[in-house]
Amino acid sequence: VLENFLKKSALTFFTVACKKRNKGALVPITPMPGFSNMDTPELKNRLNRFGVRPLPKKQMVLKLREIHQYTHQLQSSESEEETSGPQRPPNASNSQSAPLSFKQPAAPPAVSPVKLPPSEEDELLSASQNSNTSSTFNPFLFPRSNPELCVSEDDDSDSEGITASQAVVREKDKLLAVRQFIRSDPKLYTRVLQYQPLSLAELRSSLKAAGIRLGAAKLLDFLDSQCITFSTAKQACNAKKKRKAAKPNGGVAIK
Amino acid sequence: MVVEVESFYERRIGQHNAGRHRGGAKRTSGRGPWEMVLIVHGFPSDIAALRFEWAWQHPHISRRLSHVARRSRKESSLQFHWRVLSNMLRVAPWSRLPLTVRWLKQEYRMDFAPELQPPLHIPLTFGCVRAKTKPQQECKEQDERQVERCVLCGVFVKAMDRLSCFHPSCQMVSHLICLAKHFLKADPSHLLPVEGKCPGCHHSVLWGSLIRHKNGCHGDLEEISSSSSQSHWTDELQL
Repeated sequence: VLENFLKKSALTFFTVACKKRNKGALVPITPMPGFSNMDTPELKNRLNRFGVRPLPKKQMVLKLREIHQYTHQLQSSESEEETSGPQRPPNASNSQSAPLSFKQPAAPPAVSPVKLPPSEEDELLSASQNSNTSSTFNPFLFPRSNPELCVSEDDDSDSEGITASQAVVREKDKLLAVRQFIRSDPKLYTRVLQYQPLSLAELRSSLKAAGIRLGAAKLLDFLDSQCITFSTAKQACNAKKKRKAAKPNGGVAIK
Repeated sequence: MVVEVESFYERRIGQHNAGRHRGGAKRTSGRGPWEMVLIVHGFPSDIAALRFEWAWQHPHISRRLSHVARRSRKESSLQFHWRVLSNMLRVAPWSRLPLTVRWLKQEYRMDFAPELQPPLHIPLTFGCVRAKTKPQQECKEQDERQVERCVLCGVFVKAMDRLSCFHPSCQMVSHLICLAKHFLKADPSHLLPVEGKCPGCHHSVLWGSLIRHKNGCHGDLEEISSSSSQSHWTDELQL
């Protein structure tokens, strides 16, 4: 309980400290919304943006707080001093003398808390409306029963600090590179053109071999935006079983 | 009438209606005879159809449908599902698939709302269908077939890369990739073409139709008038 209290007060402190400093080098932090005061549908909605399924209310509040912490860490936009965690407050006005520390994420996100500006080439990015949840977070899995993929992000983020606009440009370049890669590989492109599903894992390793490192979630978004069907290993296993029986001209019915 | 969304493959549809003991879907057995009113067909793979079905059944948790409002009180189940479908056809990853929306029952049919029109290549049609019994087509052996050149690049075309136009008397033959690039000139940010003009006969053709033609399943569904069949239309599916 004491730890939680420390974390809570630390957050408030840093928020305040930021505003007072007025250095301009630090990106202002949005204070954490009052998740515990929200009703369940709103919590569900917010979690859904991160691909997290509905949970018991208490857990949703905790999860949202966790997400907020991951996404709202101090980071200098000039990245002179690379900060992956909170900085020690210069004037500890509270009685705690020991440095306050947050739970450190395993792989620090490279994205600053500022929302990324929308990319011009929207076709390359996910067609979904919530483009601010561009899957840079490690621990947040999609709902497991969802064939829309259970993707756990491994460390694909760069470790150097980069600005928001640099991050956008890099991502755009990567997506262009992926597109070019597919186009220039006749076997692969032939599969795509015949609507045959691509193995996500295989594609990712081919891309890696070609020097294009793209996270699974981002790759998935890209394939979706191109209406290219993909399969995970599990799906491939099930699909093989069904492929023998099913004709290509399948359908969906409503009764 | 209870509305449910199901995916079906030609083989399964008969089983599905026959109930569980013949391998049909578990959920529907014991709930009375089902009336199939609407189908979406043309999925090029099982995975695509399954994913579509899942999203249609779970629009509130589908990643791509977060913009679709929940069912309102005045909406019937069918109206809601129709609205969800209308939205799905307009977004990725479904908006470029060669799908057809087909009403099977006249009394239930609905039109797309003006603000939710589907992509131009997705037809809305009506009528029961069944798989055709195809007469054995002259299936030229690969060796017997004369060597053909791609109309776009001039290089010889191997069977596995070969695309031909399905319009009668059109002789157009090309590489898959050549024709795709040709169709995508007007749409350079995409990898998968949707439609284009055949360089041979200049008819507008759907990419999906060309692929079906290549795989030998173009035109393998035929309409049946409801008066002609006493038995359930699914019983007449030939597989």
